[in-house]
Amino acid sequence: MTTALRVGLVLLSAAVLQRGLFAEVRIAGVAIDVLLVVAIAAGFVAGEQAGAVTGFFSGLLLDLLHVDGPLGLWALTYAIVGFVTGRYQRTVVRSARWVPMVTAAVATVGANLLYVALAFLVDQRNLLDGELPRILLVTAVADAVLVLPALWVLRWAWRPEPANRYSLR
Amino acid sequence: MALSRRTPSRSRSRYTLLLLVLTSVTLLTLDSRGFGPLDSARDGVLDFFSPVGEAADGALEPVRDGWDGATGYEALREENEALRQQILDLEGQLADGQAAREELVQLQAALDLPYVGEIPTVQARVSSGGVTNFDDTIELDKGSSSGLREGMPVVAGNGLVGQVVRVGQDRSGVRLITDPAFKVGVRVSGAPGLGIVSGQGDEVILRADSFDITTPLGEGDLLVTSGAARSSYPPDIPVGRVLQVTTDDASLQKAADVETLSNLNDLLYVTVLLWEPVA
Repeated sequence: MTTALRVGLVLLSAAVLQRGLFAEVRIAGVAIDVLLVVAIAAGFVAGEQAGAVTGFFSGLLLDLLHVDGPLGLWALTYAIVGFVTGRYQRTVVRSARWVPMVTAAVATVGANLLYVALAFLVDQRNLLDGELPRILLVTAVADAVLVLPALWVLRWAWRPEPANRYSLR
Repeated sequence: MALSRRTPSRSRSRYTLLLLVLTSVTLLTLDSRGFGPLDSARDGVLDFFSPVGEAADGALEPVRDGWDGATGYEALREENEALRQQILDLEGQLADGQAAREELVQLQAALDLPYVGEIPTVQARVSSGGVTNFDDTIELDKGSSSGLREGMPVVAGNGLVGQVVRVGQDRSGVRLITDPAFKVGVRVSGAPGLGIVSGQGDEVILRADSFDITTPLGEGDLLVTSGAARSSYPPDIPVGRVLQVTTDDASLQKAADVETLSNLNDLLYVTVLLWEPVA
């Protein structure tokens, strides 16, 4: 199975989970965004380019799952977040477990704030309201936890292709 | 040496990001202009995830039930069962053919929709809420095969709850009245003067404005759809009740905070009015 196929499978599974589970089972009224976790984990595992590409497609899936709203806004947001996470990952020296957890929490807050800002700029929608702090807090904590299994899955998806033993130089 | 090897990789990743940003902006631009193929793609995804969603709903039900058990699942289930039974009873009555018209009136009365009048309706189950935290939408289990079209009003019990914005074959998406993008022309029930109600992103409070300063607008007044020419809604559908009125002497206009008439978080069944504005 090629890397693209594995990543596609992960994205599709995440979209099904988002649609079937995480949009329904809310914590304190807040939906967890598993597609964002995939984008963050991809950046952390495979670097900025992989993070940007995975983030773009995970955001695009989320855009398509929306019944309303501008198409491409989540794709833009997650591409940037995946890229920045991948760029940050280069600077990480320690491999302690809390590093990706804190990274995921910060990236989640950044992604939501970036989306709110872009929604205001692009769609004239003011999403700054009293619920935003609760959304930021709950999603940051949840994503910090979910990023650990997501890292494991994304390592499988982005693992290097085995060299072809029979290829001719 | 290491630096020289890293530089092309970094610049390539920057170009990749730039390309993705440009692609996103292109998608946003095309979508805002109502580019047909993108709409079709979204409708297709709605239909594609319909069976996937149903399957996931079934497979993941124990997880949801476990979670809901801690947050009042039983009450919701009982209410759900009661409504299902009510719908089944009414559907059974409607099947009697000869008395269909009379039964329809009874159905409307039972569902407390006296304002619907002669407009044909379709009852639909709310199959899902918004996918993320920033969209005030719901998904229905009926689509174009049941006669639904984009722009049709959606009501529940006490009044207007939204408008159909996306239609797949057996699924449709509804923008709720609390969504910041939602706007509807209204008037005070039984009084002259027109205004506009828009969503604020709040679960309960809407905003009404653009009322002339002479409009008799007071706390507790019921706002209904105006049904003005080229309006997307038929007249006299209840929208909300006025909470607080403010008067702007400079612009000679009145505005008000308005409370929704239905609890949009607990919608299980809604009624779609098969009504399209006259072109």
